[in-house]
Amino acid sequence: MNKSIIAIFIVALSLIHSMIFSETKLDYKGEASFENWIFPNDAASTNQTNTNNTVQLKAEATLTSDFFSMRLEPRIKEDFSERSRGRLLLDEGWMGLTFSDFEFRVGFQQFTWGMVESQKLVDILNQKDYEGDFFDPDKLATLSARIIISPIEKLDIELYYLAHFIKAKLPTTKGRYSLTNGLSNIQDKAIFGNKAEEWYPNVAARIFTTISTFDIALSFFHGYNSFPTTDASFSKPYYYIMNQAGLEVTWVPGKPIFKLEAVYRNMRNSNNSSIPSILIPDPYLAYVAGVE
Amino acid sequence: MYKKIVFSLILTFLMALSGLSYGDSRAQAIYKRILKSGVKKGKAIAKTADEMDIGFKDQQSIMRMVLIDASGGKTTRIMATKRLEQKSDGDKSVFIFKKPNDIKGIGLLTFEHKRKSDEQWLYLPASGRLKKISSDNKSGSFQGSEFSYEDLGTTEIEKYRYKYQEDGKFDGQDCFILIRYPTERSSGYSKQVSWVRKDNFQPLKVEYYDRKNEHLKTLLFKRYKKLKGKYWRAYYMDMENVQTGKRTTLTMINLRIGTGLSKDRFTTRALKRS
Repeated sequence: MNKSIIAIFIVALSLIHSMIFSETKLDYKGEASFENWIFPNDAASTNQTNTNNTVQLKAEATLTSDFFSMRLEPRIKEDFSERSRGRLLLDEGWMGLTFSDFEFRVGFQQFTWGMVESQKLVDILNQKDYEGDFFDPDKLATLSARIIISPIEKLDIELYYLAHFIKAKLPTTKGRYSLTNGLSNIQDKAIFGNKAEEWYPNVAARIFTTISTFDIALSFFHGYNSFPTTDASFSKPYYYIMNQAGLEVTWVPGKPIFKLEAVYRNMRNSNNSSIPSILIPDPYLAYVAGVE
Repeated sequence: MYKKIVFSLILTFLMALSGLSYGDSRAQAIYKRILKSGVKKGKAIAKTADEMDIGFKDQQSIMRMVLIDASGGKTTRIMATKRLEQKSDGDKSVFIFKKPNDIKGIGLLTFEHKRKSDEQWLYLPASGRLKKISSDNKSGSFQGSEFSYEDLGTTEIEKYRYKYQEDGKFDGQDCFILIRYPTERSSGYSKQVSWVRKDNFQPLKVEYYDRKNEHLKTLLFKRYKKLKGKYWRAYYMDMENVQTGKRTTLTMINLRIGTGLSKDRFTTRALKRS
């Protein structure tokens, strides 16, 4: 215990020292927005609203010095059609250390993987908020630690530890994107592939490099599938554990830009004993490719 | 004693005055050496200007870009720029938008290459996406301004053919009138005509001609300053599109060179972080 306190004290002192004796910069901005959705046609259920009004306030503050950085990005959202869609959360809230070939961050973070614009197969580290917009959901920050090591130029090795899994925010009764004539919030009944439930640590790694006219990334993820599976009665969401290997390629030979994303997902070798096997998909390969 | 003090003051004043002069004996020496080596006059002028800039190591500045439409309406953008000199290849550069808020944080990283296409990445903070983009589209407008990506990159000697036209004058200054023809097919120009000051080999005006060989744009360089006793930098640039009447001005604020920037500031990882 004493050693831990001494270690924390040394780290804190280093951070304060770096802030005092280096140039510290504070950047901030804020944003207020109002959204009004109008659906001209009635929904299948009378519970589902035809209009929706939302007010959102966002703030963003970033503190940076030579080696230390910190970011806070709180957001408040008020939905006048359905109060449960209101949000008070941190889109980002982390601290980090940066050196020439090493970077470390810990806190509530959002990550972005992937190179293709239309389908985001590889980008699965963050849970999504499907309540507001099912087809273009917001990402939810996850409590995590990330290390990036750059041993040589044009090579980044990223390691992720995602400490806490957030259940998907699914459309609820009044939501326009509700499934089957309005779907009650069933997240309290979620079943997880591991008995640690939300605290089962998800881990990931990604290698990104540039070779000539190619940008290439290889990734691996072990953890919960972010969008749950469910049975025919939609009574419970099941979060199974999966392994995912991913490939991302961008090729720029001249004016056109060619892109490819591919994932291989295997759920069978993970310990998903608490989930009916019939609900766990077979291993599959998915890919998307295109040209800009 | 009094005479010594006065003499020292006069000498100091004269030395300071000579520093303010826009003439550059170093430029003349470089030019003569290059001409003696057998290089044709047009290329010798371009090589002199290029060689004068060798050794600046790195540069950073805040840049204010004002977009002026044909009716006089103005839009202002503020960018932070960094540039790193590379010994054996083109420079590396980073542009990060600071204002207005809707484009704040958008970054562009460029690796210029002498003998192959440049590499470029665009970072979009709203989506957290890093995108490799095609540098062959360099004729496209940079963020809606009258400057294209091609205009804002460094002019690698190897990417042009040069022809000395004649001597001339611009803004009361004796100039070489130099024509350069891009050799890259991706260039948006058929030629560029430059008025280059004879005394310090810095451009005062450049006329850009489109692929139809029609006069498209005129760029004026103003408020030159000599940094670190060697390196000329224009603190104000004015690009006018003569076909549409639109203009874009660039003003350098707090321009510094040789600040000790390291190459890890010019990586995709650093672009996302900034």
